[in-house]
Amino acid sequence: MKRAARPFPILAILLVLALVVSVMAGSVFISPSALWQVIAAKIGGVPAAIDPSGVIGTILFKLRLPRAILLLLVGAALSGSGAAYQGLFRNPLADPFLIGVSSGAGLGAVVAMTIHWPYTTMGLMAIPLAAFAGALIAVLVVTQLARVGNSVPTTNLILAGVAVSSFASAITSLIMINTTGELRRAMVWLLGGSALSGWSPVLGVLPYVLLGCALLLTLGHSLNVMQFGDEQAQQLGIPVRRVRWLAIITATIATAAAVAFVGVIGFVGLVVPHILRMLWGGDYRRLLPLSMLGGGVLLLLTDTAARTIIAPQEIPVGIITALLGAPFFLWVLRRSKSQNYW
Amino acid sequence: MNKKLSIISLMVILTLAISGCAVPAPTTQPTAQPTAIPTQGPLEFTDGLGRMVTLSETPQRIISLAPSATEILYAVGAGAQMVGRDSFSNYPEEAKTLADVGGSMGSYSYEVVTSLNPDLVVAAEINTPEQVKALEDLGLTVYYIANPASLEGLHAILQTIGQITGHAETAATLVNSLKTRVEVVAAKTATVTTTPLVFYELDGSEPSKPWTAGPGTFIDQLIAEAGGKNVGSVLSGSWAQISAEELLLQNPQIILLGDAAYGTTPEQVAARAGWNTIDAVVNGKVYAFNDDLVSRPGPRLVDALEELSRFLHPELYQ
Amino acid sequence: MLTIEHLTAGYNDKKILEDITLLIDDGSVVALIGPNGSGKTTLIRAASGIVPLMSGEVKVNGHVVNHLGEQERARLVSVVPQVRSIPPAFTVREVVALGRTPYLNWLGQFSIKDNEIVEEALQQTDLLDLADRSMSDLSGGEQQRVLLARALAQETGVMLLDEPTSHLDLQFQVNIMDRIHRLAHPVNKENTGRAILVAVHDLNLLQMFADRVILLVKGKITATGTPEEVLTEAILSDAYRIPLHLIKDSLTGKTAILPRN
Repeated sequence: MKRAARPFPILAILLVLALVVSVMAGSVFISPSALWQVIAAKIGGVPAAIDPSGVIGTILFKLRLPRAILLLLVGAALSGSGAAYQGLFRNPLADPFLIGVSSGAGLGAVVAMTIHWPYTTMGLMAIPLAAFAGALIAVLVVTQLARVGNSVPTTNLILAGVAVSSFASAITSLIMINTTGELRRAMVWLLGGSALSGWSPVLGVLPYVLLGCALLLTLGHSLNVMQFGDEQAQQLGIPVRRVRWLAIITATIATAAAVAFVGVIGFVGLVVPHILRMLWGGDYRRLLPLSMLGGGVLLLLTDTAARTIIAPQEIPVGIITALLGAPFFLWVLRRSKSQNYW
Repeated sequence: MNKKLSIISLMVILTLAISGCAVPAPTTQPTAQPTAIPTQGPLEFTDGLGRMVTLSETPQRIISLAPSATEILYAVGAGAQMVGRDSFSNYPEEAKTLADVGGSMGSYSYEVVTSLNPDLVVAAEINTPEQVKALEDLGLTVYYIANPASLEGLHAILQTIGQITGHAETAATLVNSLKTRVEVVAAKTATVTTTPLVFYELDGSEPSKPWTAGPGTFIDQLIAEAGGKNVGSVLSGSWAQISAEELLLQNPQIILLGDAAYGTTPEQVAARAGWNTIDAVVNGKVYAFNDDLVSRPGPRLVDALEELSRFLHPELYQ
Repeated sequence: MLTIEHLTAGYNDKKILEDITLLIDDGSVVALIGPNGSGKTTLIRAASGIVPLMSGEVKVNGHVVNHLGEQERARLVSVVPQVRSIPPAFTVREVVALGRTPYLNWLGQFSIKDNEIVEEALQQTDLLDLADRSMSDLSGGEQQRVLLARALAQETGVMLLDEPTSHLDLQFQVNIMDRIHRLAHPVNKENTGRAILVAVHDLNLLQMFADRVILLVKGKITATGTPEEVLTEAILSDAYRIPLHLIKDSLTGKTAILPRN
């Protein structure tokens, strides 16, 4: 499958479509005309047949729209980081959680869940904050373990990441088993079923994801050069150490923020860059922004499916993305034997 | 440069869209419902999370997010005022006819909740504070019931829910009848001379390490009040694992199968390796037990107490 | 012009190179020879800034470069490594274009001039026909040529090549060495010839293009001079620890080096 045309317009259109679909679909179907009326009424203050503060308006502006925006941001952070890590580690299995973000966040969240926080703003922020902190601490431990002088060799990072992740997961499981009241809540969180609703998680995630993604986008060319190895990249003028640190720090912050508010959603960071690489090649100047767009689209569509398939039940998004991931891997395996796209 | 520009402009547009939409919609007042039940003036209640809950009228469109809350609402007579419940609410039978708002995988459909236009949402301890906040943010009135520590705590909850739903009298009557029934059991139990050891099985899918109820759980308390001793009371945690060897050592006189709803039968238990030497199995005192009675903090706890009394001291009921 | 003065370098406090001093003039090709493990690759790494120096200095045109940042140094010194594992997804042109990296802005944008330089590098190495092919479609010799073109696009006065002829057919070996020679001795006398250091294995072949030879044994320079001066039985037998027999060939005017049985 060689390069199809015009990736950016295609993804932009997909993005708009996904947004519209996700906003229309759900337990209450909002038809396009209803959609238009409610939005027009809200923006223009024009009286409409449908009251923007009624049920449809509430569902649209307080549930679906913020959730859609949140998932677009989270998808962008996860897939953008995934693409960056695949370039950084020159490993097709690299995903945004390789160096401990998900397991650290999970541990932080589960620990926070064992405490009964007061019903205050800070108390309600306790779990996302703990998850964020857990993610950062885990990555810090990993980088320190992997460090050799002033640089972090990629092999060390992967090994340390695996070790720390396993350790954190084990402790998380231990805690979960011992506090059975919170077991289900923790499980749902670890499966990505905890998207907090409303606009506050959006505002919480926004600065980190925007900043993180913007910084990652500047690394496109450097990542291209680094495909030839650290030595050649340095000889060509790339400050390899600095690029690596920058990529790790920004990806970590963006994914930690994303995970803190929606729980652990796997496969999006792994699958999206792969598909896009097969379609439009491995030039990171293009792959990074495309992955961000694609990640948002995929996550938005899977979440829409997750909450409509067996409504009123809401399947944790992480389960749907994992169900998609397995067949995808098989397919990639078959195709990669015939084509050198990596 | 074109591509970078399109990404940047996309992000700018997104940011503008967000800031434009972040203006909160005006909070809605629940629209008046046609009703025959007399309404009262505004009442204030402090719920289980310490929140101040204000109700200006008696709620007529109540949604319950927990099976225990559903049972309590029906018990005080507020069933006719309910419009929705979570997926696990299956008692009483009428509850199944209410609209399902989800919850089987930990998340509820706020859309369905919103579209039902409730004037009160009742939550319990299986619901998280985040869920309470989310419903609050949607402009709904939420009341959170914290788990009672004992049967006495339950009485207070029943009375409060009764007041909230305009059934204060029914609730008072219910509380009195529950107290009476408990006193009856207590009086009978005072006369017993034995304290049988009881093993309450929560999950026996791994017979070498079954799960049982630990100290402080309702079943643990109720077994004690019914004149028995819970094997699990010396373990730790509300769900505790015990090895089959330890169980054999303890040698309980009675085994209650709380996992009967999942298909565990006394015959299966008797067939488990080593279990056939346990007192309870030898004497045929392995009984199915409806775990819902004790896992949902509601009036059926007293039903559980009575049933336990019959299992533990059948001699009191000849 | 590349000057190395009293350079000592190694890994993990172990010295591989000791007190190396050498000079490579513009417009000359210097062959670096020596048995395996003598430090040839380490010397190239040290000169290109990959390995930090324990002591000594590396200068280009008189300016000390060992403290420079990666980007500045990459404008002065380029390296042509051995063709080992090349990421297959690149096209020839894309690889050569990477040579412009030290000159791009932080967004990685190519100017018109950058593109022209890339095209010229492709032309100089006869790669225009192959420019849009994927690297994985090329033979080893062609891939080596691409890496050479990449270094050309880097437009540095100093070029370091690490055994560019290993694993290549004889035809490609001669081809590459010929190009390297012409880079130092351009046909158009107005262009400055580059200062080129080439680590090589093949002692026979180097005579076709090397102006001078440096012999590196166990991290120290044991001989330096013209090929005639360094390639002698005594010097080589001692360096390679095997008795050698040198025969001057009247047809080519070069010396064949054979092991003595």
